[in-house]
Formats: sequence, structure tokens, C-alpha cells
Amino acid sequence: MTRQTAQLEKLTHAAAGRLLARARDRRGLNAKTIAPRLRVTLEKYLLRAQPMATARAIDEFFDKLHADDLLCVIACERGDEAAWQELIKTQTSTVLSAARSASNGAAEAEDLAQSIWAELYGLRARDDGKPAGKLAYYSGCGSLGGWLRAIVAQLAVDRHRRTARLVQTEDDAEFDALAQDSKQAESNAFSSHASHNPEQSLAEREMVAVVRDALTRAIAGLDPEDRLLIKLYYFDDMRLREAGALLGVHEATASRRLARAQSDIRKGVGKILSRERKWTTHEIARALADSNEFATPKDLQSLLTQEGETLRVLGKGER
Amino acid sequence: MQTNLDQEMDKLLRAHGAVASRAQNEQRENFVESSHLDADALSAYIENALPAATRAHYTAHLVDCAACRRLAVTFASTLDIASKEIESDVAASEKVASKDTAFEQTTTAITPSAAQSAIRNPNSAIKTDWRARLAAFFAPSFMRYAVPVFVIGIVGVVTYIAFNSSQRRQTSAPDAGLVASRTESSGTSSAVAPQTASNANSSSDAKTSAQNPTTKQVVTASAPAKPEPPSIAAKEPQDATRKDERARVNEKPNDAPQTSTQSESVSSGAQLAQSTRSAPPKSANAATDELETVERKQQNEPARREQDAQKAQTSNAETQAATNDANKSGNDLSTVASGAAATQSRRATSGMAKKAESKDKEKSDRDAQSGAAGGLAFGAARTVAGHRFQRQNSVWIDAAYNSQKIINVARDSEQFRALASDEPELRRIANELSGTIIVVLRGRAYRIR
Repeated sequence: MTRQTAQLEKLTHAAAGRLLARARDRRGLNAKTIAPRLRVTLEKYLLRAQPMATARAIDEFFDKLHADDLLCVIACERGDEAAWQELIKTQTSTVLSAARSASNGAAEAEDLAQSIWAELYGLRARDDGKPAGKLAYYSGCGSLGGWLRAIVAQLAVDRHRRTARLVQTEDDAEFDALAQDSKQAESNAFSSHASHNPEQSLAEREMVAVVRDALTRAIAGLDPEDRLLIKLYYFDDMRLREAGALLGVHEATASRRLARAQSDIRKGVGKILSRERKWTTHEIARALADSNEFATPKDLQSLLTQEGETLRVLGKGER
Repeated sequence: MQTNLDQEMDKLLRAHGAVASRAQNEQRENFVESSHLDADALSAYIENALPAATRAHYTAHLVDCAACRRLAVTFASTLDIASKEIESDVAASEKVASKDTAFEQTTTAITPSAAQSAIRNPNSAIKTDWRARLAAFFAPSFMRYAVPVFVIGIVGVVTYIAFNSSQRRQTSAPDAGLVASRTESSGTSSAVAPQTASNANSSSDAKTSAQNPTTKQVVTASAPAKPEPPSIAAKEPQDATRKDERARVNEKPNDAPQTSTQSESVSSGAQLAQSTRSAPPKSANAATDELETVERKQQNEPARREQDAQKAQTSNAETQAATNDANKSGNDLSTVASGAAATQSRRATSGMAKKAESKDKEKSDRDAQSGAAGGLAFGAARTVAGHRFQRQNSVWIDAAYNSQKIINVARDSEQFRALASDEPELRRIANELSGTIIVVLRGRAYRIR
């Protein structure tokens, strides 16, 4: 392990030299100063997933870091006023834009932006040199602007949760309420559909459960990114555009992926039902159609819609 | 944008999602904080700046962690780069990453920078995207198809230009040959009479004609009895002698009115005969040998004889339309000879004939020299009735011909007579040129056979 550690140190030191060479402004930093930060980044983003990463993979990882942004942040941590001025000058618009997107008004956005700068500025490197504050968590993997936007989003979510606890409009509470209502509605729906035929209602309920189980397993069999897309779109009610941005693809690409995922899920459900239940194609199609009707009856859907609208108005939803 | 989504599955998944979300929210309290994505990891994830294994790890976490997804949703809403983001290049780069490193480097270099610029300054995203697309245009994966297409295009253009220029060169080759021959001859006056290829005379006749310049009808040894290949050894001294002879012939004025029908051959036979008189005394055997060598050379060029006969015809037709029949038999050497002799006296009294004669002599001289240089299959040119014809593979082609539609007309046909009545020059052309003729009249091309 010592040998491996020594090798890692050597690679990190060499990478620090290359990073300094790449940077537009070295800001008075040297390889010895930035090597520890690089080592932490390496551990976090590469060695945790690939403990036996090759030297070439390590070099490639380091060479993709944003040199200028990282050196600027490190210089800010060390109290470089010129670096701070440059950071404020270049990133003010980004922070303000992100704050506006995450807030409901100009005043709130301004307040949020000021909070960000205060947290960053007020938590510079301590006298003992140990990193403090959020600046220490910037690795250089992503861009500085992206990181600042993520900071703004994190702060906005935290603020929203703190203020939303006072009113029953938190997402959890929203879903809890919906859950109770929907359960009640489901039972009502089933009872209304099969009010005069208990056996039929039992069969229908069982069929819905079987289909739902097959759905869950079919979704679990998708690729992780397709699963994430399904969850973002159907579970988190995210728009395709936002889901695509999260996955790093265009909205059109996300739409095509979603359509493909739906097709894969349908095939997966069909395979499971035909293999385990010995259902025919016709029976599977009928089961899906019936499950659709029973799982989202019109009265339940309208109920969910009404409740959702009410809660969103109160909770100043994120979307 | 929801294109081609399965409506039935869409509804099922929505219902399923609602139920699953409720279940997840109930378990939210059990999440381990340290395993969640922080702001740095989230931004790196969205910018696709993580190693593949790490990204897959975070993807799996996001699938199961509603809290992190919620944060990601909030973060995504702050991004306004969806419309400027790279489309399927990211997915394509991930798929072909193992196949084409250069392409991967190009596209992975694009993605973070495009996202970074878009995040920093949305207005610059357009420029970055433009640069990224330009860089992708020159990526090896694209250039490996574009370069061969470009090369093929260049080769096609060059071939087309070369083909066109070679065609033009072919049409202007006689002129070039004539120009070249002009440079050789010291004078272009009427010194040299056109060849009469027809006069089939023996070497004795050549000697006889050498003594009488006005009746030089010999020269082009047309006797097929001596079909011997030209002697290379004899050729070299012959060339030098020929130049001298031409120079002398050009200097010497002609006594009688010289017509194109004058059967004095441009060939070196007659000139040689002349030079034998004025040149330093040589042995009789040497002169005879040279003459025989020249005759042999001429005998072995049937094409040259044909050209001489045709030139004799041309000179006749320009002066007399009544000699059509005689001129038509241009391949008959004896006929040409008699025709030439017959018209000689006629032209002697015509002033116009003198001018035509001088022109014809010059042209014939050029043609003869070009013919002497390299055969008659290509390059012989004649001007008749203002039309410039070039002989190509036994067809006289008008220089004005430019691949128009050709109308076939037979000599002695009603159509020909009708045309000739409208276009008198057509008759003259048909009379003076033998064989197949392609002539352009009033923008229409006619093939006279």
C-alpha cells in the first residue's frame, strides 16, 4: 500500500505541475500547495469507484480538471484579494441568475445571492491553513459556474425546507396527503367499479398488483440512466427538458430515450407475465389496459389533480 | 416534447410513479447523508465531467435517492442551456468512446466547455457551440469520409479540365503544326507550290522535272513498287539538306504564274533536284542516293499522297466549278495531274486566282510540312469558301462544328441540290473536299457524303 501511495503521490505531484503549466495565471501557487487538493479529488471521484485505476487513467483524470477555476478558488482560500475580485467580477451574474431561477421574486433572489457570497467570503482559510467553508469542496472537476449554481440550488432547497415546515406544503407532506387520499380513492374506485361483484373486484385488484409488480421489475431491468430518466419524469414530475439537462442530453434526445424506455418496459412486463403467469399476448394487453383504468380512475385522477393544485399554491412549488 | 410516447404505458408509469414516490418518502429518514451528492459532485455529474465508473455510481444513487434527485431538479431548473446543449453527441461520444479516442477527446472536450460557458454566460454558449460544432466538423471521424470525397471531387475536376484541354489541343493542332512549320521556312511567299501527291513518276521523272521548274510534277514518289521503309541513316543528313533546299526554293522567284495546281512538290525530291543544280558539286551517286532515299520515304506515306491529291482538288475548285467531276476523283493521281495541268493555264489569266493560289500555296506548304512531319490521319487543314476544315480520320470537319445535331446529306441527292441552291458555298466545299465532310451552315451541321 505504501508503494501504491508513493506512486499516487508522484502522479499527483506531476499532475499538479501540468495543471500549473496549463493555467492562465498561476497566482503564486506551486505544486506543493495544490497537490493535497488534487489528491482529495482523486480519491473522491476516481479511486472510490476504481481503486485499481491505471496511471494513464489518473493522468487523464487530472488533465481534465478546470485549472484556472481551481487555482482561482485555492487562491481565494489563501486570502488572495485579486483572486477574490476576479471571482466576484466573473461569477456575479451566474450566481444572480441561479438565485432568480431558484427563487420566487427579485428580492428573494438578491437575498439568496448575497447569502452565497457571504458564505463563501466569510469562510476563507483559517489561520492554521486548514480549509474551511464551501470553497474547500470545489474540486475542479466541474466548472466554477456550475458549482456555484449547485451551491445556490442547495441553499435554496434548504431554505425552502426550513420555511415550508411551518406550512403543510412540504413535498413529503404533500405526498403523504396524496397518499392517504389516493388510498381512500382507490378503495372507493374499486368498490364503485365492482360494487356488486366482490369476486370480480378481488380479481381486478390482484391483476393490478401483478401488473404493478411486473412494472417494478421491468423498470429495475433498465439501464441506470434510463431508470433515472423514468424516475425523474414520472416520479419527480420533472419536465423532459430539465431531465435531459440533468443527464447532459438535449430534450429531443431525452424524449427519444423515454420512448425507448417505455418500449423496453412494455416488453419487460410482457416477458414477465408470459413467463410467470403464462398469459397470452392478448391477455397481457388486456391486463395492461384494465390496470390503466383501474389504477388511475377518472375520479382518482381528478382528485389528485385538485389536491395537488391546492398544495402547490400554498407551498410555492419549485417548479 | 413528447414524441411517439406510448400513451398506455405513460399512464401506467405515472400511476406507478405516484405510488412509488409515496413509498420512497416514507423511507427518507433512513438516508445516509455522506452518500448523497454534494454540490460539487452534482455539478460535475451534470456537466458530464466524471469518469464513467463514478458517473454510473452516481446514477445508481440518483435512481434510488429522491432527495438527491430533488436537489438535482432544483439545480436543473437553474440551468438555461437545454436549448443550447449538445444533443446526442454526448450519448454518441459515450457509445463510441472505446472505438475512437480522437472522437471521444473531441466530444468530451466539447461537452464540459460548452456546459461551462453556458453556465457562466448563456450568451457565450452560442459561440462555444459554434466552435464546438466546427471542431466536430474537423474531427477525424468526420474527416475520414470527407477527405476521400474531396479528393475524388478534385480528381474529377482535373480530369474534366484535362479532357477539355486535350480536345481543344486536337482541334488546334494543325495550327500549331503550321506555326511550327512556318518557323522552319524562311519565307512564306508563294515560293513553294502545293504538293501534288498524285504524280506517280519514277525517279527519272524527278530528275527531269528538276530541270524544268514549271513542270515539276514529280516528286512525291507514288510508285508503290518500292515500298521500302525509310532509312533512318539517310534521314538525318536528309533533314539538313531539306532545310537548305527549302531556303533556296523560297529565295528563288517563280517564273511562271504559280498556281496551286502546280505540281511542284514540296517534297524534297524537287527541291533536292534544284539543289543539285545550285549546290556544290556532288558525286552523281550521292545525289542519286539521296533522291532515292527521299522517294522511298515518300512512297511509304500513302496518306501524304492522298493529301497532295486533295490539295490539287482544292486549287481547282476555287477557280472552276465546271471541273467538279475531275476534282472529285481526288484519289486518282493521274486525274489530278491532268486536272492540275488543265487549270494551270486558266489560272494564269485570273487575278483572283493568283491570290487564291498564293493562299493555297501557303496552306498547302504548311499542310505538306505538317503532313511530312507526322501523317495525315490528323492535323491536315484546309480553308474552303471561308470555312476552315480539319481532317480527322478521313473526315473533313468544319472548325465551327460544336457537337450540333448533324443532318446527313448525300452528294447528288435532291436534298443536296436544294441545299446547294440556297448555299452555293456548299457545292464548292463538296467539290473541293473529297470524302465525308461535316460543314456548318447557318448554325446547322451537315454531313456530306
